[in-house]
Amino acid sequence: MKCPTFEVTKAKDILKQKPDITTNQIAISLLIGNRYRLARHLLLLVALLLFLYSAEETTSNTGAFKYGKLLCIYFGFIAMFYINMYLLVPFFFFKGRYLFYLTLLALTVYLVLLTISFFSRHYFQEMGAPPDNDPHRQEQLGLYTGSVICIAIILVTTTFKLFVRWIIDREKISEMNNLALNLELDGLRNQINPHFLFNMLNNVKALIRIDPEKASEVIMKLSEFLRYQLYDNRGSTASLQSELNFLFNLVELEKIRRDNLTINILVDIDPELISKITLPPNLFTNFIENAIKYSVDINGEQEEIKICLSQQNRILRFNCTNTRGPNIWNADTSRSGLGLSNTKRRLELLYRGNYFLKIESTPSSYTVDLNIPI
Amino acid sequence: MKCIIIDDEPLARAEMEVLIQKNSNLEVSAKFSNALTALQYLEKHTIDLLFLDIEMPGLNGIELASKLPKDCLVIFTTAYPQYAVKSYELDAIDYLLKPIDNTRLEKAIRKAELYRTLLNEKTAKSTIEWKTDDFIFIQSDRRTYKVDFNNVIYIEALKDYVVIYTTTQKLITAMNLKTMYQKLPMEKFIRVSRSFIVNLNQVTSFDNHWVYINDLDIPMGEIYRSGFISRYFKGGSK
Repeated sequence: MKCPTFEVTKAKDILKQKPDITTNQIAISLLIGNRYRLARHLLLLVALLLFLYSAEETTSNTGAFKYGKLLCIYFGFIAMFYINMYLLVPFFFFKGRYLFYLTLLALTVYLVLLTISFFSRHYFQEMGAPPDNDPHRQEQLGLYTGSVICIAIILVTTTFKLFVRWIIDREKISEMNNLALNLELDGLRNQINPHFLFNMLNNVKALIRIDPEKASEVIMKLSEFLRYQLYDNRGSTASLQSELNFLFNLVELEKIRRDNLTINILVDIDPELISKITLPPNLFTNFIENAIKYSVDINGEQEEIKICLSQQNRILRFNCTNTRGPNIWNADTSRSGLGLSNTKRRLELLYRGNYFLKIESTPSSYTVDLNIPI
Repeated sequence: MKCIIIDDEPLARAEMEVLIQKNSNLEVSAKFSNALTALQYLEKHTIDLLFLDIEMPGLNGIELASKLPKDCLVIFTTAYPQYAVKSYELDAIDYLLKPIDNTRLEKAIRKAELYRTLLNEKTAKSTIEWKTDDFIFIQSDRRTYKVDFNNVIYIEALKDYVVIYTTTQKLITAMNLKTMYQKLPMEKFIRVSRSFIVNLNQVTSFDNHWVYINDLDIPMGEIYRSGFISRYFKGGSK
């Protein structure tokens, strides 16, 4: 028996599709990570200073008055930013009191601007700055338009806070999804069939009379089979070696249950690699069980299943071909369909499209080809 | 008595044949790995009893049992407990779970043999002649049997007949269980499942699924349970 030839192009396709997680993670940690917190704040302060300086350039003021007023506005803005980010947003905005938040924000801005104008009028005018033509009117106008502009600028920091929170929430949600998926995987994996067990016990009972040697052999295989199903495959991965042993046991046990069934398993993998490779447990079981089920020929013809496992580069390839008897399963398709869709779902959850599955069905044979990355 | 074994697993067939030969005088006429070939065989041969697996490729055991001629008895042998209720509806002799217990199988075979004898000997001629408050008279083979209601332990449906188990004998009569139930005095008897009527005064104990009369266990149907329980306690006080 020989493994069918390997389709190299498909293997390459699988390796190519690695999702680009690393760049994303760097971006996220730059934005929200504690490590870059100081840098982020410094960047904000410097950017604000530059912004105000360039805005002040356009006004007619000069000298000490200019820089004094600039600093005054600068610290006013910093005060507004931090009051907004650390008091108003966490205690009002995130708690859902939006109207209260907006009122307080407007009030804060108004008060800060009032303070700035108070300082600039009383302190900097004494330093000999030229008085305005109509100080009172100009000041009133400046205070209202200034408030509106300041609120707009300060809302930018609110947006940033929201953005950070959105990223954190998204991470949490995807983590919870992963958890749910893992639970679902456990459920899909541990579908032990009790009828198989009881039928096997009945067979062992028969063998004890007919062939005690064989009976004790079957009990050992059954024990190993059960141990793997109940304990060893609880983890998210199993070694290829133990998975193969399990498949050999499964096949040997199933052979006992049938009249004319021959099953060949060919493993075309370097023995050294077999003990090193790990993979999610029970990936192939459902395909083999289906092959065993659908190979039944009630006319007593010879039934045959060929299973082949091979490996190339970082791809593990599973191929299972079985002969088919006359179609007798019409009434029963819903149940077997569930088994296959469960396996497909599991593959999708595990590899997210990063695998290759082809099922070929003809009236006389059925072939499953599955390539997975290892 | 001739029987056949139908099971898709070769070892299960071999085991069943050995057990049958050990526990009875049944003749195993043939063995089949699927129900379709067995059905073809049954069209040409007369068989008294089937040992029938349920989950099989193609036609399953339940489907086969519903296609059988009336006088063909069935003992189900399966690893699946969930078909038990269905098997009562098909008037199966018994429902054995794998791995098969020898004594349980023996009991099932005895029951099948008894039913076969009753069906062969008396059958259609036996009728209920008349009844009084305390007695029922059953005519069978030109003899009239007087049955004291107090001596009736239980009554079981068997295909188109009912079997009356009294403390001294077993009588079979052509009647369905519903008609029989209507002829019985209400205060003494209660139906506990699709196939059984019991004498309330004979019942020694019960649980959720069984009614016990000394060492006999009679299955209790879900829908009959609450009726039985209320009647059982009333009957006890009488």
